[in-house]
Amino acid sequence: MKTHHSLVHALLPSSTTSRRLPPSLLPSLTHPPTVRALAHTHTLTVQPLRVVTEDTCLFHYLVPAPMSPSNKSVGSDAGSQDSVDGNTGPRTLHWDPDPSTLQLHSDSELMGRGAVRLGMSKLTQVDFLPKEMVSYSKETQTPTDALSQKEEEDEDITAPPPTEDNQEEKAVQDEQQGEDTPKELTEEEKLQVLHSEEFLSFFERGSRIVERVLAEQVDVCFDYSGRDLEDKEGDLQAGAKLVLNRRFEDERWTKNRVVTCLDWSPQYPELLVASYNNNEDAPHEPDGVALVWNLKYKKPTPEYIFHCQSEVMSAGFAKFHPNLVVGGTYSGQIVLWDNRSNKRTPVQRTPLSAAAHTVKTFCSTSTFCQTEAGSLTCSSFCATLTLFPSSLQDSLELVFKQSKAVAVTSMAFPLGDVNNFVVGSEDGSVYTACRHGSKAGITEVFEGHHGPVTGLSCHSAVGPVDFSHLFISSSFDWTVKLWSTRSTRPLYSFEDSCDYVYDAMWSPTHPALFACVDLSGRLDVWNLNNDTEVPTASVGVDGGAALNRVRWSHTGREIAIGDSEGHVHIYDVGEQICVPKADEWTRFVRTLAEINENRDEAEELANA
Amino acid sequence: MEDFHNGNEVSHNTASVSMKCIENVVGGDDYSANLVNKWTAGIVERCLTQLVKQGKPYKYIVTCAVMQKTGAGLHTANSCYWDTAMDGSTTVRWENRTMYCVVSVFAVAVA
Repeated sequence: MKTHHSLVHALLPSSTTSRRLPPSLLPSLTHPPTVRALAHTHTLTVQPLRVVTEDTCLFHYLVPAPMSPSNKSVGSDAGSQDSVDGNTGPRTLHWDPDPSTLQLHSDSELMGRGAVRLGMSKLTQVDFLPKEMVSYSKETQTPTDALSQKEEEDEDITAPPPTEDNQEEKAVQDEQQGEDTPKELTEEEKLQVLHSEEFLSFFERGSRIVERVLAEQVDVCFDYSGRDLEDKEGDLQAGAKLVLNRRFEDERWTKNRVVTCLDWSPQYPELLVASYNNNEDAPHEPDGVALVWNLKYKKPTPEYIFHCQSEVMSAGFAKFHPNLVVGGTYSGQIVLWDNRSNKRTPVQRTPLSAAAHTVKTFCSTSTFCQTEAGSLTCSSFCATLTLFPSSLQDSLELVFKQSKAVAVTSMAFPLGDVNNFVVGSEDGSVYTACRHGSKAGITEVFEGHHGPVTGLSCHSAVGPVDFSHLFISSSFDWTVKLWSTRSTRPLYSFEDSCDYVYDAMWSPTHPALFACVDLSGRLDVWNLNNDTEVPTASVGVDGGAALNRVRWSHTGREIAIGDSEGHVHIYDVGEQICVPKADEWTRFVRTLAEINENRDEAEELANA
Repeated sequence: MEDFHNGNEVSHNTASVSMKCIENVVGGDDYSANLVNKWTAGIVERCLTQLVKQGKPYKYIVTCAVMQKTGAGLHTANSCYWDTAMDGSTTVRWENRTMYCVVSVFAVAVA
């Protein structure tokens, strides 16, 4: 018994200690709690606890509740291990099932501390809020494109990987930069675009159209009732004969150059090509220039600008092809310009051959190109036919009577004739020549001029009577002479001019009309049915420059004149002059007959 | 930031101790994935040794969490059921430019 008693007591402190814990937690206790601080409060020696794994609860039931007096006496005897049947007798345990009371009692007895209650502690929360990513599109376009969104995503994706640290601020910065700068072209890229084919053609086209529009001066206030007509006297020139319509010149391209040739386009009656020789004041500019002018629009700049390395002595529209302009140059080359290409330089040119044109090309014409697509040029001593596009060159030496070489200054083709042509030479004679056939070369000589022949024109007006045997020639001897191929002596000599006559041309529509220009700046229009002594209309061209070239337009209503200062003047010929009446041809027959008679009479008188 | 869950001055002490520990270990460094394990271990060990040095009759539980600042959010919570008079916990939050550090100390009274 005593041993039991002592055992109980010995066990008491340890059990008391263990009793401080709530019973619910007890099963989890596996480690023997170390008891250190408690040792000094108890008289009993503290023995280390044995690990009790399963029957820890036993202690509670064994130890009596000290407070209840009824249990006290029984308590000491409760050392028996039969714990379960507490109700059987006084020896049985009488315990208080309420754990809190157990605790309270034991605590107050042993620990001497205040009441300890277990409770829930306050909730501890740790919050790190996510950083709000500010992202917004800087595009101004309405976001209907799925494509633009995709591009943004791509930018976002590419931005973070470069950043090694994955630092948030840096990533945001990169993103913003990616959306910020639209791709700026470098200088090279800009130049590349400016020189690209597409840009150049677009720019040419666009600037041409804009120039035309800008130059238009349509009078929107025109009053058809005629109220303002007093001011418009000048416009009602129904009776006027020769009126200046336009003057073409260009600061850069025509200044200080002489107009060497003019030609009207067969397809577009408003287009005119003018060729110029070199500008002595501007040695770096190309020597040869050919400009295509447009009558239809008021824009003052040329429609097309062509140039080449040597002076263009003559130019004409290729009749076989609407886009080509043929030019004969001083160096002997024939050049071809194409207005479809953006180039201003010739697209094709004949090779420079030593034999053909050792001296300058004086004249060229493409009149026979209806059949053969080529151009014939005459230079001193030599007439060369150049065919396009086969680049054939056929050279014909012009030698008169096997001895005298002809220095050709001008040439002309009779209408519809591709074989025979007339040439004028420096010595004042006019020759007819043949290209092919047994009589290839010079055929006939027409002597009469006292000075170099400057211009030749074959009669071209088509009508009931054929006058194609007629041609006129102009010369430095101040005269224009009328010839017929049937006679080697001139039919008539027009001597109204007081200066070198530079050019003459038959009207393409009126059989008895021709125009001539001279050095003093005068344009004369002769109507042989009216008067053979005096020109029917005459006008002095402004500026007083020497007039180089005269060309009737294909309609016969306008005359183009080129002068020695690079100006091209367009004159409108009054209707009553230029439009032939039905009887013009018959009248001209009579005129010719008269002329012939007069000539014969004059000869007889001279011979007699 | 310090959370007191009991009136005991142990809490005050604990908070300052853990703060000091964090500063000493992480201080002015930027987040580095190589070093972060070293840091967490260092913080916990230091805190614990300092607390134990105080000689108080407590059991300590120290946790340390280091999170990189990436803009993500983090939310934690804890609660205890214990002797509210004797036991306490402290949570200290610390941050610099590149990371957050949270150290929690739970002190459970012994006996």
